[in-house]
Amino acid sequence: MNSNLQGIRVLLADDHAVVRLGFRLLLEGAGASVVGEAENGEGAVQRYAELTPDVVVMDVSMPGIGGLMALERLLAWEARAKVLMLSAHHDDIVPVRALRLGARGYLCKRAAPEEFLRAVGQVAANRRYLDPELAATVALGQLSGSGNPLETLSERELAVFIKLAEGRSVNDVAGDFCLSPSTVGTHLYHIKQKLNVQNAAELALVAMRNGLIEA
Amino acid sequence: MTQLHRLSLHTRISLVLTGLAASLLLVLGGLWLHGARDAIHEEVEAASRVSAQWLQALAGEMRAVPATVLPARVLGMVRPLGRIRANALEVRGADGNILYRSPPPTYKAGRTVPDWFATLLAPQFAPRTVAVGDLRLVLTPDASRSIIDAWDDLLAMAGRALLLLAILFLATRWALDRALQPLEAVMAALDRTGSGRFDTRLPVFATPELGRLSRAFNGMADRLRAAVDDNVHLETEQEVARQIQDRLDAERRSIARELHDELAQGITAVRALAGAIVQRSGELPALQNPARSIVAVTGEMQDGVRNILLRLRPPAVGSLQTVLERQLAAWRLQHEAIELVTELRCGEQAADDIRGQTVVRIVQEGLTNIVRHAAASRVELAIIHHAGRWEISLADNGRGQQAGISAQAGCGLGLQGMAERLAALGGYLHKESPLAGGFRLRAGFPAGSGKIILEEEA
Repeated sequence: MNSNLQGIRVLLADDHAVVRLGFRLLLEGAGASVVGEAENGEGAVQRYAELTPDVVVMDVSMPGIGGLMALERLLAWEARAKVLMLSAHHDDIVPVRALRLGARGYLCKRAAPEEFLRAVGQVAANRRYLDPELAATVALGQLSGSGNPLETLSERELAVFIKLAEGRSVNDVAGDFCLSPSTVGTHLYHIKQKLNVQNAAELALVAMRNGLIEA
Repeated sequence: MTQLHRLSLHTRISLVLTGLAASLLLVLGGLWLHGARDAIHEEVEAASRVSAQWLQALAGEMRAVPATVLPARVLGMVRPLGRIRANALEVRGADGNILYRSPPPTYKAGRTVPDWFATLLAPQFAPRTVAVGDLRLVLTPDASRSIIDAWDDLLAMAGRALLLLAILFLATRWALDRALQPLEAVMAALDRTGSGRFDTRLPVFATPELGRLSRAFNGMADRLRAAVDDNVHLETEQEVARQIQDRLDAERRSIARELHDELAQGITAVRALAGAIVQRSGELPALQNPARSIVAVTGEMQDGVRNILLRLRPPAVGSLQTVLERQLAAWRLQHEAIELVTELRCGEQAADDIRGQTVVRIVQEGLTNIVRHAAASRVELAIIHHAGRWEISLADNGRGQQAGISAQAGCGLGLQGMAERLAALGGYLHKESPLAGGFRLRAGFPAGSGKIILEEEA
């Protein structure tokens, strides 16, 4: 385990402190330096602005605005930011979204430590990276063109959708994303139309079935 | 006719009976008239003959009387007689003049009978003429007296007949009313049952036919109630099953959340930490090797958690065909050593109703069991939606049932749970051990919605 990440400055964003600790030790063991940590999306954007790290390693699901929205804001702030997204989920929707949004890499959290370090190295070298385990699913998902209605959601709508599906209220989501409740309401209206759902329960069901949330 | 139909059954039957009786009476009346006509004929004929003989005798007596006094003598003889036994008498002179005509009949004077009746009954006799000297005595039979009597008799009989008919009509109606009174109760009972009161029962009526009717009605009501009870029972069972399923799903979701949020993140953290130890313990094999083991074991743990999460996840949206194809493609990727032959004919059935989910779960459970217990190299799966039923067959060439397939009773995930779920849908789950070896799972259930079990029993 001698991946050379010498001198690479990393910002870690994950809501689990012990996970951050493990990743920090791994990265430091490979020669990188973890310059900052954040436990939510807003924090990550803020710390990035302060620290301008070489690589951001960010979990998709976090409290607050969440990983995808944080990624969008971060790239809006600095288009050249190199972000490796991590996820505990194994669906094909979120990776495709994240990569489309501009993430350099996407990795499952269950990957081996070496794979994690390799992924950080690839992203730091400004190469794209996709978890080999996900690659097949993503490719097949793209090929089959299954017509999953989730594909029709805009990035913003998907972020709102995931939050709402997790059971947060429109006002909560508005607060998370610093949007007005009426804007979130409009998103919700479009989401319901595109997914053909009637209520929050059905919304949650669609999200669950697509592996976007676990319950 | 329509007016007749509007009358009650009782009235109609009474009218028919009365009509029949009236026809009979008319026939009898006709016979009587015929008899009366004959009697009148005989009577008048006899009277006419007797009268004629008497006039002949008179003529004999008068033969000696001189012609000049003859008319006066004859008139003196016949005038006091008046009518001779219902025969009118005329005396005509030699020149044809009517010298005498007997007075009109005095019997029931002023009474007349209708012409039609008189012509019907009156006998036709030619007047008899007896010559007395130059005089002619003309005897005209006159049946008017007998006809008046017959007419009076007929009127009296007609009156009695009408009275009889009226009594017959009323009596029939009353008897029918009495006999058919239970029909009111039957109709009321049908109305009550029709409005959903299935506890309605009829008393057993004294009339045998109506008694049978009420027994048949009560039997029908019993069976109806039993069917409704069964239905309610079934719906309750299905509701309970649905609630249990919902609770299981909720439980499953909360387990999934716990696993994902706590266990999976914890394992990720341990794995990363163990990886960090491996990095830092290059010179300490005693430390590095166990740390490597931890990394390896946590990998397996994550695979385990992932598999559990996949099983806990509700089925995906879309048509059942698509969902199954995806699921099977994923299974093939995971188990390349097992050849999976499939025949999917699901039509346009959706995956997100209870039946679609059941199909998905059966396939999931069956395939999981094969991986766990069967040691099979080939699996044949057929899922066919045909003629309102789902038929699923899953056969493998593995060790067969003796190998001991865990039923996993109670956790709702195993075959036992599947069998219960299928039973609630009105279907079955059969485990078979074909002679050729291996193991075969067959499941079937109605694809429709609603009263499944009742339909099957019907």
